[in-house]
Amino acid sequence: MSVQVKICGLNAPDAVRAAAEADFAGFVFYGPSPRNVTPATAAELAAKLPRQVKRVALTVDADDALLRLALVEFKPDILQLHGKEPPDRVAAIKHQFGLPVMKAIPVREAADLDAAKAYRGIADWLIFDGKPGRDTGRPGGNAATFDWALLTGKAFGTRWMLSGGLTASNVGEAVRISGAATVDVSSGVEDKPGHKNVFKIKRFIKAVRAL
Amino acid sequence: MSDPTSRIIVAIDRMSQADAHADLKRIGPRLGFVKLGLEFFVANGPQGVRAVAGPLPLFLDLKLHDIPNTVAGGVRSACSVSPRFLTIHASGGEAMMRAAAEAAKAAGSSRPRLLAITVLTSLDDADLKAVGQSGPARDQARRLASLAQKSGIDGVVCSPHELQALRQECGKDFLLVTPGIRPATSDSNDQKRAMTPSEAIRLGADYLVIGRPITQADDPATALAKIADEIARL
Repeated sequence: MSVQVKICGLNAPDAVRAAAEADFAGFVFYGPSPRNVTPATAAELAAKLPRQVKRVALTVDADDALLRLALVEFKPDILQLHGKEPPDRVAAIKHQFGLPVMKAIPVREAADLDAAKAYRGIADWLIFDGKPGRDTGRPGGNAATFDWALLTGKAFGTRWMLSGGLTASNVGEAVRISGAATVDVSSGVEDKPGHKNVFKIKRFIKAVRAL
Repeated sequence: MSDPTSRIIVAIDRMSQADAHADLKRIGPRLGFVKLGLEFFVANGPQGVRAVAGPLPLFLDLKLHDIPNTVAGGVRSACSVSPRFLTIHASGGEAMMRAAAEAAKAAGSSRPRLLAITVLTSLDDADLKAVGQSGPARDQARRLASLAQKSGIDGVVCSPHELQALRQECGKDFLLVTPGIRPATSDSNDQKRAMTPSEAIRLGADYLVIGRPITQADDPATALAKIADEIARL
């Protein structure tokens, strides 16, 4: 089964090298995140990636100025919107910047999935991320899993990926239960927030490739 | 892009030629692809099929499943009505699919494209287990799609839920033909969790199979035109 994998929150050259075997590479443009990089740094790092690896720019409730900077300097393939961007804002960003957009949907319980409906026909991708129990000040990368069975048999009218607390040891189970065709990892391949572990990245990709 | 109606396969689920003719007449001249299945074929045979489909591209949905020689013979015989698409069951195995592919190839440039059926939508995990197939149904469907591709089959009929995974798995040259599509405006009839035509196309469907939302619409011609317009806007 060819499940695709995204390594998110890349901020160092060795981690980027390890992520060269992934399908998507995500860079975070959000000040409060321990994985934050500038678009210029991300461009430098991403230059080492093979062309087939899709570059994802993750922003959180970003204004047009930041999005434009990310676009011009980093040249992403996909814009990931990981904040509270309402559907009309997502539509406006998609229209203005002309790139595929991926909207993050934080999930803890079944009702949280309803939020995805509002982005139907707007978002090109959805990414279901675990909603942390308490406010960590970061919308993602919190190692929070959720009940993957909530996604079983669901269709959202668009491509989607599974995120939230995935690791090399639980990703097989997560895919089996959720039916995800694409998975995303950040904290699950780190030693501590913002510090990617090359071996964990490799092990995660290997685990996904073996599915 | 080509006329979107060439990607909308209208399923005509009728037993009699008169009823099928009436459906086609109501749909009108924009109809670009027609599907006839077992019920019609068994009742009317190849002559009936061509009498109804005329020169339109034809999806002959016979879901052949037998030993390799027999299925190859079935494919050869089906070529007499020049179907554009013809279905076989992937669970017939690799040898059967290879024999079918060989038989189709012999028809030359007008050969039918063979589409594999993976897991029937009527089967759930428990049903699969009861017939000795390992589930879950979703994994079995993906497994059979891969086997079909490896066996020289041109594509699969798949649930819209599987489009993302199968497009990833099988690449861009493998045909994905998707039933279970409901236009945004129509009632959801008997298929739950429907996807709209444009969503399915965006997810990688090459062709959509749509029956009742068109044939049972008050105005089938408009129903078809609306779907075509929705796809054309992508």
